[in-house]
Formats: sequence, C-alpha cells, structure tokens
Amino acid sequence: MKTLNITNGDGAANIIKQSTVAGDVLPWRDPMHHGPFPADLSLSELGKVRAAYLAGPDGNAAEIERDFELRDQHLKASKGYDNIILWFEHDLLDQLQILQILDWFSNVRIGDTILEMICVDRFPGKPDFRGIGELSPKEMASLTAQRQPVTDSLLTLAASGWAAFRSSNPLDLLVFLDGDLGELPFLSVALRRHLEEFPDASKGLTRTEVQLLRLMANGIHAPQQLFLQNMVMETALYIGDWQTYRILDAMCANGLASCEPHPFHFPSFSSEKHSDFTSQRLSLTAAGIRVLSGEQNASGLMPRDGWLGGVKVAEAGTIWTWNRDTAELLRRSV
Amino acid sequence: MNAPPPFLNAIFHQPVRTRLCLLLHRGEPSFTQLKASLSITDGNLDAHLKKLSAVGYLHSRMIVDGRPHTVYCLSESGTEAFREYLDCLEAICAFAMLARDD
Repeated sequence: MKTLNITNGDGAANIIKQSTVAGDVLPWRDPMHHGPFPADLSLSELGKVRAAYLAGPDGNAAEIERDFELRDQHLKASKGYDNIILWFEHDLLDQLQILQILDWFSNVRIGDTILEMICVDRFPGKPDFRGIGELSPKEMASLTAQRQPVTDSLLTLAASGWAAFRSSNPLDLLVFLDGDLGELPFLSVALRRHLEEFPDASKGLTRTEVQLLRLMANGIHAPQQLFLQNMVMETALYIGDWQTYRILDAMCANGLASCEPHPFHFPSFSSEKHSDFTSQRLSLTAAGIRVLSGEQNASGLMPRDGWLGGVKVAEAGTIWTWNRDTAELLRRSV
Repeated sequence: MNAPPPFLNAIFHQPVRTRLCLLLHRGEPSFTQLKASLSITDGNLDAHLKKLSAVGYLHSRMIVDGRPHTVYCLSESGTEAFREYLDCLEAICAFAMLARDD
C-alpha cells in the first residue's frame, strides 16, 4: 500500500514522519490567511503570485516559487498512490488549505486512489488543543482511526468554497456561508474569522489591529509578547509571528503606534542582532488612542492596498469594510 | 544464465540524477549545497528535482538555521525505489560477471 499524507506544514509533517504512519509526506507550506489569491489562475500561476507576495521586497521569491512548484509536482503524482490522507485541523489556515487541495482533486482523475481526510478540533486529554502540530508521534498516529472518505459532494462543496474565497467580490463568500457547510464543520467559523480581517466599518481597523492596540493599551509592549498575547486572543490558531510583525510595522509607520527605538525592526536572522528586535518597545500614539476609543476612524491612516483571498481590499476609490454587528460587508468610498 | 537482466528505474538511471539521489539518500542537503556538489545550474537542478517530485520520490523540509531554507531528501517511496535501483545495479554486475565467465 503506497500512501501520500498531505498536511498543513513542516511541524505536522515532521511528526507524521517520526510516527508509525507509513507513506510519503507532503507539507502544504502557504500561510493562506493573508495575501493575494486572485481567481482564474492555475495552481502553478498562483504559486508565482504567492511566492512574490510572501517573499516581499527582501525575500527570495525564486526559492519560495521552487517550493511551490515541487509541491505541485508531488500533488500531480497523486494517482500513483493507493491512498491519500489529508491531515488537518479546524483553524482558518487549515480550512483554506483543505479548500485549495480538495478543489484541485475535484478537477482531476485519480483513478482507484482512495482519498481520505482527518480534520480535528480537539484531542483527548488536551483541553487547550490548538492543532495537530502539538501532538506526539504516537498521538498523531492514533488519528488515523478518525479518517473519513472524501466524497464527491465534499469535493463539490470545497470547490465552491475555494471559488468564493478567490472571488474578487467578497459578497460571494457570504452567499457561500449561507449554504449547507455540514460536510466541513469547521469552515463557517474559520471563514467568519477571515471576514473580520476586513477593516471594521466603525473603527477602520481589522480585528488583529484592534487586538494589538488593546494589548499595547494594557501594558504589553515587547513585540514577541504582542505576538504571543495576540494568539491568546484568538479562539483558533491564526497568523504567525512574521505576519504579526508586518502589521505592527504598518501601525508604527502609519502613526497608530510608536516604536522605541524608531523605526520598527523585524527579527534578524543573525543571533548577534536579535536583541535589536527583542529590546524594542511599542506603544500607542495619540492617534492610536483616539482610534481605539472610537473618537477617530483609522481609514484615513492605514493604507489598505493588500488582498484578502481574491479581494483587493481597497480599489478604485472604494474599500470593503466589515460590520461585526450586522455581519455585513459594505463597500465604501475612501 | 536464463533469467534476463533486470530493468533499471529510468528516474534514477540518468547521470546527474544518480549522483543527485546518492546525495539525497545520504543526507539532507540544501539547494545551494546540491548545486555546488553536482556543479550544475539552478535550472538544471530544478528540472531534476521536479522529475523526482513528479513521481513522489522527493521530500522537503523547511529548517530555520539563520535564514529559513529548504533541505531535501528522498521520500519514503523514493528511498525504497532507490534501494531497489541499487539492488538492480548489483544484479546487473553479477549478470555481467556471469556472462564474462561463460
């Protein structure tokens, strides 16, 4: 029996490899909760777009693109396996990875290959369970008993979800969320978290920005602590450290927070310069205090030139905003 | 002398890829290390890695040792197939020895 195990990243992949679970392991390395996913691009075209975004101005886009190309080549080898098992959890990153992978499988023929999925939001004896990356190899192997066949209707649902996530019109995602998502029981909560990353209609801030400013207001000033405490404010795992620092950097650059010393420095890959990062202290500015208290809307302060899925948040003089009270997306003039 | 000589796995039986797979079988080299060891271009190494990945023989792992980077090795199925390839080479050598002795 030749098996391919596909999972959410290197942490879980390494545990599967250390366990008694047989087969090849393919980690799906893409922090999908941020950055562009424009519609109508093939998997390889999307890999180029993602690599350019993830590399940023200073990163090695060619290396990231190579990783995606090799990943995609391996995925295309699927029909050479007797069975494929997807190993995922309930958070947004994993739910998006499930949508992307199942969408791909909905468009290809894999012959007699059996496609199964494990997707969990809990583990016995772990009340604070957040993800499969925190399991021991033995615990990971025990999850095989929970694998479920991927049905045609699940493939269809995932393909619809993937199209809605990549649509340039975020209202398509709300329409999708109104449907029956019973076969992906964690998807609705995860996608609603995604919608909270659109700027709030009243404050002009995303949920993450509000949380980070609140933490500063409550006396958390070190960047690493801001990242860790921000994770605590999430019910499921959300963005990683680097994306958190990108947001802190943007808030400092646009006057909502200040950094001492100025400007904000990202963590260095050189251990000698690590204290340059850890010794930084971030605080609310007067504008940050006004925005947090509701006296001022941040929409004029924070640039919104980014993407969430297939949506350019601000485009052609308008911006998509999220109303938490009514669960509505509204397009407003900037 | 009646048994025919075994077939060699064409994925491994290519001059650059045989050497590449020996390196991937023995360790976990990075792209830069592989390129230097094999004295080939980025594009050439890319093409050979893709060939291995397209049959599921390649596994990659991201490590953080200074700047994060990817290291490569043979996957479980790649390791098994490569061992079979080495066994085939041995069998061919034995076959050749027998033919010479005949």
